[in-house]
Amino acid sequence: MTLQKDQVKDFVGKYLQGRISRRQLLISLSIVGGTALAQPLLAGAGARVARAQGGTPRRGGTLVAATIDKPVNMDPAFSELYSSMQIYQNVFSRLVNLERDGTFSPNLARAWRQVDDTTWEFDLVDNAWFHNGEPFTANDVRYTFERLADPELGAANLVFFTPLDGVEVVDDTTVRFITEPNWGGLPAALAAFGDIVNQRAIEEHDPRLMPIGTGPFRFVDWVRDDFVELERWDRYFKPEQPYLDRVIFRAISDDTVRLTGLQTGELDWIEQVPLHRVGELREDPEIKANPDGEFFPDLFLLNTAQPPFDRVEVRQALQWALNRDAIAALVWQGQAAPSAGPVSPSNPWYSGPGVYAGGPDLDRARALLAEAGYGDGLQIRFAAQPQVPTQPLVGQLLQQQLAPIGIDLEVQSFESARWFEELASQRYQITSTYWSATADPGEHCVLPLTHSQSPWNFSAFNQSPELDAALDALRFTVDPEARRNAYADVMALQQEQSPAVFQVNFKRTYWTQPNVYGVETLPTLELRMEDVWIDDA
Amino acid sequence: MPLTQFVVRRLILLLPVLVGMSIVVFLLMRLVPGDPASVILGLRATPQGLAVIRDQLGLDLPITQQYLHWVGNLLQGDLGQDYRSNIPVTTLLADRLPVTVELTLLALVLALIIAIPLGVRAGVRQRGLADKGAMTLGLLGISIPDFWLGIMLILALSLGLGLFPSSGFVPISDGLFANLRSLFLPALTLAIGLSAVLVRVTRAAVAEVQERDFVRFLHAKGLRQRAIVYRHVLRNAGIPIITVIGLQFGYLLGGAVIVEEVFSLPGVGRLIVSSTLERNYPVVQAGMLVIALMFILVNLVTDILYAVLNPKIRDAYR
Repeated sequence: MTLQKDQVKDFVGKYLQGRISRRQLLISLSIVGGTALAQPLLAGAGARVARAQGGTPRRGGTLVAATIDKPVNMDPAFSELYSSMQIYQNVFSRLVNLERDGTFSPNLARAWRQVDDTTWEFDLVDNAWFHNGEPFTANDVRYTFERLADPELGAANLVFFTPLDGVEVVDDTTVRFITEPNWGGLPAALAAFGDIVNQRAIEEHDPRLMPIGTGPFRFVDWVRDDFVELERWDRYFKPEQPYLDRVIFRAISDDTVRLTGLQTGELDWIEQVPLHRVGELREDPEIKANPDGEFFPDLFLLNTAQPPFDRVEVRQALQWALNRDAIAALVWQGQAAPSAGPVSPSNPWYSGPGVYAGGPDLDRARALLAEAGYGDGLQIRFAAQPQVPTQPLVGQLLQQQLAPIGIDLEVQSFESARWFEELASQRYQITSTYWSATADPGEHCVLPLTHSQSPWNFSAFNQSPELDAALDALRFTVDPEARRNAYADVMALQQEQSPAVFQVNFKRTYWTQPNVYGVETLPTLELRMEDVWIDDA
Repeated sequence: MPLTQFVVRRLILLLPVLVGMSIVVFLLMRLVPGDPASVILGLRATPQGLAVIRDQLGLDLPITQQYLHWVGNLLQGDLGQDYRSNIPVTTLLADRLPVTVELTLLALVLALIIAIPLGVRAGVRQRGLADKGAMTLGLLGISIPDFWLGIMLILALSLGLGLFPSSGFVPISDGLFANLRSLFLPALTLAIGLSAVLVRVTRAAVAEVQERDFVRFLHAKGLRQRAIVYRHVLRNAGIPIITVIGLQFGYLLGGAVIVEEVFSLPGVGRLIVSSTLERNYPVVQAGMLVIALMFILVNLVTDILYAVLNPKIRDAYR
């Protein structure tokens, strides 16, 4: 036992010094059976990672951050807009966190285990407080998920928790999640969408306008269309964090104006700069590009309820004609990785190059079209929103790539509301979109988009009971290794059927002043400001 | 007719205009394709979810009923609620209106400061240096789009010289200087387009009045050139200039929509744009009505100024 403890300490020490990755750490721990022993040592790992990035974190300072879009609703049950989540995820805490390398780390839950096929038990911290002064207990966890499941509330995020049957309170610091047998997606759903709320806070204040959580920052002010101000929460359950006194979020839609704000020092943190300037800015010593990540899959949706994409051969022909390298280089200016699936090779979920490796192969594409009866060519319409600048560009490039196989593609422009309508009513033929859920690419991306029973099956796809079965098998598998294998099975079938065709993974980079530390892109795309600090020495 | 009677009469004439505006604004939003419910739910829309939202927002009622409901509430001072946040539209507008009003007024003042002296000088001494400057401004100011000019001014005066903030709004309560500094670049962006029109009109009007007999008489009387120009010529050239200012105020309000977006100012224009994209009917309808009301009121002030400048005009309304 002592030997095991020493080994665990050694592994954790190496990890905190940055000598081994988190993935290597977890593999090593599982070999010596020390995952549970390591959890107390790893609590606050984020802080130590922040330190590793730039020395000792300093307390104090105000960070002015500029996102692209403005927030609209601060209630985590309705996080339909990423621009709202970016802010309120700093006000609320989740039971577990998801790290850059795809592993889960403790947060409001100190440890967790699967008790039996349908039961997960979570040990909770006993030192967390809501911003209204209420102590955090297991009752808050139960209330959060009971509220989410309340049909009267109509919460958009309920869909990520459909296999959850209930939450039982064991005592103040222990809670049990009762799920359908072997629902393996629970930790990912908790990390991505499980923001814990407090009943009194929800009942006393409109949660859409006044978020109250146990998170590192307290909500102070929100001047609509202007800024949101958050302030350090002194009773945060990680005593060392957060480092910043204040975070001010602004929304600046123009890339150039946002970048200028960073260059003039008015802003400390921005998301996204003009794509064509990334190369030059990476060399600029006055601003800093922080560790980025390819967590934003862009994909084509094909309407399989209508000709010509009702034929699998036509969908496969599109796959064989597609040149993803050209899309990544020309549309995304090199700021995206070509990918035939929702994740890139650097991601632990990556399942290989896929069945169209070696493409484009125009002869095979032509042969498939002929097989489907379109040997003489065909015309298709691509629905694009000019407000999403990359979308019409992808359409134009696709037009060029499909012309040699006899497909005449017309790019049609739709303003966003019309585009949604085209999609929801399934009048479109082909379009492109992004999907932001790579916390668990199988369950949060492929399943919602392609399972025949999913409300987001915009492709109206119901041609493959095998794919449905593979998605269900993936969903109800717990063991991480078995889950990754199940994901590979899903991707093989998904690519063969191709109701959605993945193109690239956009690389999300956050840009800051050189003295801002602890910033990194996470798979959940949350902006974890508790790790961020400013060195104003 | 006394001036007050003239003003009251014009205010009464406003009512049918406002009713007409309310119908146009209401119908326009309904004619634009796109369903607010599907925008609110976004990619996560389900048929059940859409039905619930449409029911909550009253979008399943007949259109006449929706209009009467809206106008009924409007008459009681209730402009409705933002579909997304449930914040009363009156609160949203009250927060944003001061920003847009200050921006447009500042732009107007800047445009007058640029255009009037330059236009007068150009009109008095045609083909001189000021005239060439005025014609160049007239051409460039009209040709350059606001969004491009705004970004160029940011790059030059904010990034290059560090004189002004690149974006954002500082309220007057945080200090008048900081407030004016935060609004200077957006106001200048708007002012350049307006001054281009004004400088041409002023030049033409001054040049025309210059040729009249009374000006020759004033010269013969021995008055100084400056006194002749600013006391007599400009007053007589005033009517076309004020007409253009009134009409161009609409341009300022339209331009404010783009400029507020570029400079991230929390004004009515930005609110209308984002609400239109979201099909947030109550916000767009109220915002458009307010903008229309502002335009109508400015033109009323223009008419009053005509009457002040030229009493003969008052008789026309008799």
